[in-house]
Amino acid sequence: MDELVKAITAALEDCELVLGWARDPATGAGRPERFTSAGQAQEAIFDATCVHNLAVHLPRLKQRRVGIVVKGCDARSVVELVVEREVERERVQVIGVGCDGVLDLKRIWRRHGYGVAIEDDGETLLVDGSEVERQPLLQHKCRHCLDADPSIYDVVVGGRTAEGPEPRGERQELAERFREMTPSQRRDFWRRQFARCIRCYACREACPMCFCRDVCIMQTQVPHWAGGEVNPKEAEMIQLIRVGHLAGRCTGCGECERACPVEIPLMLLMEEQNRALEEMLDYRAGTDIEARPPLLTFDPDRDLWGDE
Amino acid sequence: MKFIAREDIPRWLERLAQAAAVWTPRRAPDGGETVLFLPWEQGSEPELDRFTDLSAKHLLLPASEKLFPFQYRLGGEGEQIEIGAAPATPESVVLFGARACDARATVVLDALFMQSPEKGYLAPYYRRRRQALAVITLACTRADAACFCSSWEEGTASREGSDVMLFPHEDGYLAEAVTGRGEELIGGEPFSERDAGPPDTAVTDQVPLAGLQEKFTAVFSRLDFWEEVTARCISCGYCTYACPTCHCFNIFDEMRDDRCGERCRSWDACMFYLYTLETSGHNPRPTIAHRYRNRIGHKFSYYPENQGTFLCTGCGRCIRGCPVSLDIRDVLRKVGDAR
Amino acid sequence: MADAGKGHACGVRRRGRDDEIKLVGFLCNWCSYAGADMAGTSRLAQPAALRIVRVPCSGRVDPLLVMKAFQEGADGVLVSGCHPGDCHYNEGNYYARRRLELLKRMLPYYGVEPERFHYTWVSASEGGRWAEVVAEFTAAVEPLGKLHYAGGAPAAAAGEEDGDG
Repeated sequence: MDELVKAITAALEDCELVLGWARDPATGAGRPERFTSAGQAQEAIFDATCVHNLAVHLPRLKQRRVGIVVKGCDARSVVELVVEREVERERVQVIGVGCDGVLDLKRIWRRHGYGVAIEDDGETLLVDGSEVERQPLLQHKCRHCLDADPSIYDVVVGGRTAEGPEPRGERQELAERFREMTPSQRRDFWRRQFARCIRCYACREACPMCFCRDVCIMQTQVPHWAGGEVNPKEAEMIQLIRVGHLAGRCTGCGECERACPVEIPLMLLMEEQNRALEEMLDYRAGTDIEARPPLLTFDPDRDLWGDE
Repeated sequence: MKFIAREDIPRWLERLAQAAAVWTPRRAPDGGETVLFLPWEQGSEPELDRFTDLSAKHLLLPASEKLFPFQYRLGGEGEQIEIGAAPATPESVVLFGARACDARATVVLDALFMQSPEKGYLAPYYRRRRQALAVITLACTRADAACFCSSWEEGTASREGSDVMLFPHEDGYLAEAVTGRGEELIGGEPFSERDAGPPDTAVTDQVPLAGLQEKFTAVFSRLDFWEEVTARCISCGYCTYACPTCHCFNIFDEMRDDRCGERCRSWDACMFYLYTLETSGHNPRPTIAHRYRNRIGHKFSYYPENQGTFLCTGCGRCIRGCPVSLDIRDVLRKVGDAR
Repeated sequence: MADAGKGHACGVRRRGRDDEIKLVGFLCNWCSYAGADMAGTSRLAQPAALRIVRVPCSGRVDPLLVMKAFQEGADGVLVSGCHPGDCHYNEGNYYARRRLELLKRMLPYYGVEPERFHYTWVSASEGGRWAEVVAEFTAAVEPLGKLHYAGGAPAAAAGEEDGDG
């Protein structure tokens, strides 16, 4: 990945630091890294194990000139952060990378043991030395990816080699099952899912668009939206808060679901909401840097739902 | 040694369940690949080949518990507060299929929560649950890239905190009673005798722990060091909640209506901004670097100083599940190397 | 629940009768609340299941208020504000409309039948229309019965001692 190293090195002439990935010595997979020198940038990598959306770090680095390596989906988060005025486009150097989908590392490691060797060239996947079917082991979001090519960038490195993936795999089956449920079945479904929630807030903290950070109403006593207990009811309120507050912000990067330590399929709700917003307002978050957040505006001539 | 065939495990669990609430590692329903310690149910299959994604500490320190109910009543003297009794907890609990790191965590927690009443803190809720608990541990013959329990002497074969040790052997497990209660648990059916000794168990990654306390103190005030090692941290509470030894909590009142409520206790995490936020608005640990430093300090400096044992058993959960691949071993090694 | 009054009676008053549905209405101060008032003073007959919460503007109705009401035991939630174009604050109900429409579309995925939620516009002079809205909404929710959303009544969750961690 000389090209990537070169791009990061070039960006460092202008930026204090560049957010990218380097290899985790314990697992060989990509892990987030901050590059601050040309020497250190030699370690930069990008492959299907670079699952993280690094845009999550941008709001905390507001005052600094930074570079960031993004996949297509991550680029949408950068766009949306600009739309939300959390990030100034001029302060950020965006290095786009072509992406063939990233792996569901948690699934692979839970099945085969944490840190088991993974080799992947974008088409063939070897886990612990033997070939396994790649498609079902991609992140769920990758299966219906429309954004493999970054929408904004200052430089692009590499391109896609594989065809866009087809929706398939266990998680996709779950999504289909969920869509067919009745509301009361979904009530039971969520109660069962939320019974696992431990309120670690990884879903919130991993989300680039949850930039309220330390003052989130999920944890406040006043107002008392959610109680302090750990139970399905409060877990549900937390997700209602998250889904509601991300309306028109969620770019579908799937970090909440990836971060969840107990595999609560949080994207089921986000996906439905994104679909609803697209139907209602033809809005896809993070695709138009000039857009106004759809729930912070209105259009009397067009918004004609409800009875008149 | 005593021996139990793999296929006889359900029979044994059934027997144990007659006298105790039994928890085993199990796949969570509709939970993908997640394996958790869940209550045993008739016909449920224990998942013994995988590490659980969360620890079993909730058996001693529930993620959330009701301490007591209270009620305001108007009486002759004006408003009175009536305090109700604490909810009952099971009298006997068996944790089946823990690993050495999980079992050892109970001993590590006992150092704080089971001090003798004269000299220490009284923790009646913990004490009650601890006395009810028996642990049946499965010694690890395989470790993964996150395990580091061999940093402590006994590693994967440690018997600390266990009542029974199980060792994989041929088509089943050799069983060894560690305590009197353990003897009872493996007495009778469906155990047989086998002429075999415990096999070698796995050896994991080892983190040098010697001198860590002093080294931490030396590097404490270097905030740039902590900023660097925590650069990728996003300040979620996963590592603390998955940890078998982290035990910080929050106590609060939940009102059920305008006159009745319950005093509750839930897990809390030092990685949260709100954990140390003071009423004045001041926060002594305002950044992630401050908070992570406390996490390391508590585990590897303050706790050993006060309780004589590290607040860590090397289970590796904080590494396996970290959303940003922050590896506590890296940080410990860097603390060790810092000058 | 005959003995619920003994000992610690948490939540008893709130729970009410188990077989009756409970509806919550969020009404804006300027139009719908006055409209409901007018229905009352005109002595128009309407079902009694609705509890009204007066809010300054339909724009004040955070969708979370609706969900919180469901969690705390409401079986249906109604939001009513000034007609579009007539908002006392000019544009509050325009913001509300986008949010509430989105909420309506999301409810089935949260596990709430969409019939349990309705948003509409009733002016201060439409006492008759208010009575109709309440009657229609009550008739829509009644066949669905109680919701029991997220173990709604805290007493139901109280048995979950030692829930998995």
